[in-house]
Amino acid sequence: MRTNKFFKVMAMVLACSSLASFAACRGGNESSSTGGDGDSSGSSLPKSELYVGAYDGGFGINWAETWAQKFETLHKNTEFEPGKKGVDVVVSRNPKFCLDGISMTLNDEIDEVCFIEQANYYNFINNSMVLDVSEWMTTPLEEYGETKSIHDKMSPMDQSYYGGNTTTPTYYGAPWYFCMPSINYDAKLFEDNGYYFKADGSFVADSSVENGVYTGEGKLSAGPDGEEGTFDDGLPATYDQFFEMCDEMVEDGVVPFIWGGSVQNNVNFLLSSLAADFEGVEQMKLNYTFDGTATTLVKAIENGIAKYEEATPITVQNGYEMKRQAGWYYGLKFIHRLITTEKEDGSPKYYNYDDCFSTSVSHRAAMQKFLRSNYTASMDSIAMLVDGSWFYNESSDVFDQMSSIAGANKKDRKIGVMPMPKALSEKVGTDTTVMQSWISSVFVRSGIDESKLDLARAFFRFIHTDECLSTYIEDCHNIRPFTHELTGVKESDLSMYGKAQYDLYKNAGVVNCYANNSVCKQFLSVIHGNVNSIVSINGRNESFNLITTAFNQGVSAEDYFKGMAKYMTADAWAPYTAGADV
Amino acid sequence: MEFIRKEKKKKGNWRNTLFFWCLIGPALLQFVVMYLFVNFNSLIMSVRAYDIESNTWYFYGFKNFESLFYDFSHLPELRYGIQNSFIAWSVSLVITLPLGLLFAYYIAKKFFGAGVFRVLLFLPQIISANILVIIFKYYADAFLPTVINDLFGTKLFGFLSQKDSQFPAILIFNIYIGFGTSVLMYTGAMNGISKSVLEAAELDGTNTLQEFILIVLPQIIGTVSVFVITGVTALFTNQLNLYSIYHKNADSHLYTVGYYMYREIQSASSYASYPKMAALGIMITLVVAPLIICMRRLSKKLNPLED
Repeated sequence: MRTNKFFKVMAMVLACSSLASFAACRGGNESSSTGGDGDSSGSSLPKSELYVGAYDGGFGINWAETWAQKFETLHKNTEFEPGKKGVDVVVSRNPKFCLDGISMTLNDEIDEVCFIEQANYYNFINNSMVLDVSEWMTTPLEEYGETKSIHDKMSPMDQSYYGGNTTTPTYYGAPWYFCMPSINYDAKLFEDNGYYFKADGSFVADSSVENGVYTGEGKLSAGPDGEEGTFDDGLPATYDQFFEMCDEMVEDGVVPFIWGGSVQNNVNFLLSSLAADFEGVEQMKLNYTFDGTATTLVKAIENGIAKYEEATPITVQNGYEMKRQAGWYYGLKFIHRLITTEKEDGSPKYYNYDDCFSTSVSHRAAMQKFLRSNYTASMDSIAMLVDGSWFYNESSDVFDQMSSIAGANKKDRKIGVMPMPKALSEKVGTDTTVMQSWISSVFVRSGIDESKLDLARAFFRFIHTDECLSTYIEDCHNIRPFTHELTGVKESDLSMYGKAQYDLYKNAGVVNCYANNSVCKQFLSVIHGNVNSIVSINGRNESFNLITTAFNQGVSAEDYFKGMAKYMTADAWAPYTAGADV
Repeated sequence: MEFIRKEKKKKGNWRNTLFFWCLIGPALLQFVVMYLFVNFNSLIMSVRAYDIESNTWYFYGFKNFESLFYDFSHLPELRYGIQNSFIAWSVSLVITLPLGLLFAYYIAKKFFGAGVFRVLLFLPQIISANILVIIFKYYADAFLPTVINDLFGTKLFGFLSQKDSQFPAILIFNIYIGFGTSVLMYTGAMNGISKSVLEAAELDGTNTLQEFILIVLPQIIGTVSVFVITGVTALFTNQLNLYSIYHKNADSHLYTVGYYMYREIQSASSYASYPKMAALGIMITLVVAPLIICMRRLSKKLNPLED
């Protein structure tokens, strides 16, 4: 009997403990209420609450907390809901806000303003999970002292994708972050060791460049954009010059490159950046819009130079033809040279094989090595990291650990974004083009309480003001894909990395990896980042999805390039265009 | 009196029926929702296509199957996929299964260190697969090459990053993590063998090997055949943990059909990618179902305990 009672009590305790864990379900989202200084209004009325959630895949949420604080202060006396005064914006990390699963369950979330990445914008619309925000997007932000609307600040490609191909756009969200696959370089190492070019093609003397200002003899080279006095001065202008710089590094005992062996697909993405810079906006975007005339499709390759076909109209039906675009070939040549150039002992010249091919080296491990190497005596310095724009903010913990070293903290560290060098010398001076290689969006979920719509509207519009877009760069060391001037933030407040991205976005043409057509909307993963190739090795067809692996196994850039067209044939492409027939 | 007894009987019947449905109901519901409905939906989906612009599904005939046939003839990774799926299945049949039986016998006989073996072999079932994969990645790609390089002064690269060693390394990992459940079940079945039978065999002078082959194996053949048959069902769904190790970027020569299917679903940007995979599921069923029926008949024939 006593045992029976004991079991009953135990059962009760266990049942209660399970209830407690149910109550804590939301705990997965680490939330913070900024509090603001709304309390100072002395009002006894409760505040309105707005829940903001963001996926933290590297970009953190501190930028959203800054917005929340500013918004709370701005609206401390505003009555958004009857009987309430002021606002409390609750910001949280939401681990579910990544990939497409959330497009079916968004309304189950408490978050009302949602920052979601790697999920198809149109799935949210089709599942009726997101609010129509067209009026919020197209009305000028006059209440915040601006004349432009959010729509006006967006690129034409973003306007078309998010708003539709119509003169009266319908918006359900806006792009969140801008993220490009890039070569991130340690500018301090470049300055200390003089890895900048002078106008005569020689290297500058060690330590003669500081913060981009050259104090030595002569002047810096004009860089890939061919213009003096711009952000890329002194950086390698052509592929040849780039590898000349790498050779100089190797002579100094510096390892030119690192990327994580478990994320070799970052090199695939780098290829799209190289191709984009070769092609320019109009030609590169055909890879996604399938609407226009391709002028650089390769007919033949003679002595490493691509010979072009006649101009070819590109539509959704023959989109596979874009795999023959010259930019891919030249990008492959760059990566082939990077992967296959060897030292005398047969080991790779420009990278450490164990770091770049071992599955045990993650992107985080590569970031750490890159950031620490120049400050750790036992390590060889590493000059460049291949990774996406998230890398800087995602390395916050490394910066924190290094904060006691002068110049090594997050704000002061000198890390730049390398503008892509040009494949051919005659291309020097052409515009720089960068790729937006990941899709991310901000939505307001459709299930939001009607009484909160004014509040959500005010917040949504507020975070797209020039000031908020500027504080985002300061807090996140990343940019949002909107055209704006730095407002409320001085250039000196930005880290070099944040500033470099701002400059690049401002000065370069931008191509998005997504576009408003049925193929892109339905099969984005097939269109972007897919550089699969079929190559005949010893008479047997082999396919590759990682460029690094193919080149490491002896495949040439030309064979790989031709194999891309073999992989994506008209027959293989046909099923993707099925939706376009409807 | 008779009336009261009938009433009680009725009450008893009602309770029995309720008890029966309480037990069977959830399982039946699960079967209907998770098996019948899902498979029926796959069947329908395999002849349809999705259009994101109009957010509608429409009839697409057998074009998903056509597209799959083209892929199988065109893509080297699918050629490897079929080949590797059969290799993985053969390995589980020829290596994992006999080794599992031997380990189970060792544990059941309580030979030296049996307890430690039991824990070691069952550990992969307790630890999360992702954690195991991380440990394995470090072991095969960092620790082992470093140790070998230090010991022999050679330059050996990671086993998971070299073309020649990737697939064997993955197979070895899968053999190890494949023991847990089967060893536990075999041990349980072996422990269920009547002690008097074993004692009689011992009195007749059988040695350990003879006891294992002539007495123990025939007694547990029913359990073994269950594992053989369920092994066939996993023939084309086994992805050898490739996704955990390489994410979406496994080299094409490592592909299994299971990995291809899993990867395609994971990479899907919209519903439009699902119909082709539904068609693949149907095709796999058409190949595997007859195989399973054959295996079942064969195991029945080979089972000495079957009438």
